[in-house]
Amino acid sequence: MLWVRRVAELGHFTEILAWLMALVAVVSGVIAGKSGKTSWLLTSRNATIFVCLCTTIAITTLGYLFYISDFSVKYVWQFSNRAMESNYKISAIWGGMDGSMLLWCFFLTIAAAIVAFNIKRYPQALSPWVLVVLNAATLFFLTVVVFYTNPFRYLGQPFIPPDGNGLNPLLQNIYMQIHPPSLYVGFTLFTVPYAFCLAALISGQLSNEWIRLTRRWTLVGWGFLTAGIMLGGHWAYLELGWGGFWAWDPVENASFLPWLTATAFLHSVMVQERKNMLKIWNIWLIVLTYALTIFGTFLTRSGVVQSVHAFAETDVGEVFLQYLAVVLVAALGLTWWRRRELKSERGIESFFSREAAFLLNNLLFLSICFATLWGVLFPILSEAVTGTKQTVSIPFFNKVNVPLFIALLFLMGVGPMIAWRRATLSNLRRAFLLPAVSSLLLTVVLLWAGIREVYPLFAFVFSFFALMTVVIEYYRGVRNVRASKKDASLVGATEELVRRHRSRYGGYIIHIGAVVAAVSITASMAYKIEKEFSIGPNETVSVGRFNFKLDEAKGESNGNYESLITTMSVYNGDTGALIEVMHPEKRYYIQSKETTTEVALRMGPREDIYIALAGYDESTGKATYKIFINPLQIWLWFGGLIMILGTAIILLPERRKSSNSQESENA
Amino acid sequence: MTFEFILPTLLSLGAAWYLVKPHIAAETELFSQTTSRKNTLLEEKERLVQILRDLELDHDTHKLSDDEFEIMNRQIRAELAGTLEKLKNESSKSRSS
Repeated sequence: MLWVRRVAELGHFTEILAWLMALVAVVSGVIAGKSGKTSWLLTSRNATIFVCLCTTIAITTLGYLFYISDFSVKYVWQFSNRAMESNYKISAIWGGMDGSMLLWCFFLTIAAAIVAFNIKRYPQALSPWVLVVLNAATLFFLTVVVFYTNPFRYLGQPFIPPDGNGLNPLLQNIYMQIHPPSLYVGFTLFTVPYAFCLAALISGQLSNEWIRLTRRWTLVGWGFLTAGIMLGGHWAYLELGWGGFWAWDPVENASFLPWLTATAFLHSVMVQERKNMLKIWNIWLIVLTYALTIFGTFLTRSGVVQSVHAFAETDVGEVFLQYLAVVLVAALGLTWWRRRELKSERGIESFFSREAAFLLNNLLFLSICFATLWGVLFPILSEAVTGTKQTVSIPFFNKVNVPLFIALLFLMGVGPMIAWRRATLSNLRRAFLLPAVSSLLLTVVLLWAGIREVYPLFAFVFSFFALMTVVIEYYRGVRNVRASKKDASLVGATEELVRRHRSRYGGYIIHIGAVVAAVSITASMAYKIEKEFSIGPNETVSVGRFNFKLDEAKGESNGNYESLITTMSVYNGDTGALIEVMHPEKRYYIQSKETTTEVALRMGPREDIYIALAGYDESTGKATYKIFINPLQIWLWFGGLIMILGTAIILLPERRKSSNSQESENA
Repeated sequence: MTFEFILPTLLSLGAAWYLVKPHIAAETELFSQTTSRKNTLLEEKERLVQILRDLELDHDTHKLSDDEFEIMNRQIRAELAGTLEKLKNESSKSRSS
């Protein structure tokens, strides 16, 4: 029997096989969990690994179909054309709904396969249930892929079109090649801690072990999500031409919501590890994180929100909502069932303690999360109730969230310095005298410099306060190392300190990154200069401390798009010196008939000069521009990089002694 | 016979064999191998040692009072002792096998 006539059918076949194997993995996992039989656990493990093999073949097949421009396949025809560069043909895999769901499955099954490979390292009571939950999640996504969004469907035309529609021009950008996969990796990796959490609840293994076993997974997921959000912001900044990087768009928020709960989890988990408190809290933070990744997928794929980032309207929204309900109800039921065993042995004894600071930090993260969620849901709910969609725009999000973020900056300074259990007056004085006095001095300096707006002032001062506490922490830690190792150099002692306390000092590096990002966001939000104007050849316009002169405008064309490129000289307004020649551009993509704005950008440590060509009048030769001077903007991206560096430091593997020496030591 | 035919056939046969294998081979014994469990215990030991180091640093930098340090230190050391005991048992098991 000839099962497969064409490569596309091979892809579809592997999807179905993966679906069947995921089902087998769930069923055999349940039998293993109930009976305790290792053979069934091994069947579940093998099936999990096989699912990964199948999705790998499926995604490779799809990539190959794009590479050979097989326009008999609808998805390939919709999202590529022959003129596209081959790297964009690969990123076209996730350019549409169908391929992005397959990519999601691919990453999820890789994570599940890694867990399955290592399954014998985990407690035997936990292992089958971990595989059950992981494969149930995989089964859901494969159901979506096989029955709703199969990317291997044929076009269904009597002839094969000579060329395809092409990828959305906005997505033909290097950041779009790495931003979506980075987000998807982040999202899918949160399935692992969720699976361990549920497995712990099902099996009754409620010690801190599930947290320990998933710590790295959570951190890697958080790191990828952070990178994905930053890359998405950078893409929006470069590609959308409105001079900003974050518009509280529903789809942007969809990636931000799980980031908030995951960040809260990474903080509160330290309290559980050291003080055996907040067990239910942590379970729910990880459940919420996973649920919010599903909610985000629902938002982007259901068509309920309008966004430049959203996929076209489809009928999978309802399926995602049903799955979301299952995820939440299962977690709720299991937590209720185990509520007595989950009771904390100790409570918070003082408001002035690190436990309280962490809890407050968590409450702030969750407040931002719920305020943002409300802003996302309000238009949907208002339409459902009143029939009229009431939009929630940027001012709402800024008004609610900015003060909460400022409070978080303050806590970022307090948390690392305050004592566990109960801070005494001497502890508070020793910890906070220097940062508090220096922050007060900075306040005076900023007021003297003319910064009178309340939010920017507090944001700068608390950022400095948080930075000071990190500097003091490093200073004290290094001093401690040098006290025990007299000959250690400053660099050597710092290295030793970070090596010995990677989590803590890696975490502080993440704090530094967050502070750098916060300062940049504050400056660019509060002190941005924006001007829109029309200008003729050789005319000059002044914006901020710069003068802009239009030199020329010319048209160019290649097979993919036609473009209008203008040349602008930027001069220093005070000295008249030429700073840069910039080329803002408009493109018209021939195949998709879409126009895009290609921003001209000069990044600098003090400010970015950002020019977007808004229009051009051929009869007068006048061009219309939007120019933005964004202070300290570049530091946002550096802040993101520092945060990733901090995450990488925490994840560095521990130098372990050789097993021989370990054995002799143990003996 | 085309590539598109051979691969699905091989995949299906491979899947069937891979799933049935644990039930017919004596592979169940392999699963209870002690080395992996030992690795987990070693990781657990490292984590507890790390927490102890952090506690000492907090104590040295006056973020933990003497009383609190004593309580937490005792608790973590008890956990560490339990882990070391388990490690010892695993090592003796692997030597005897």
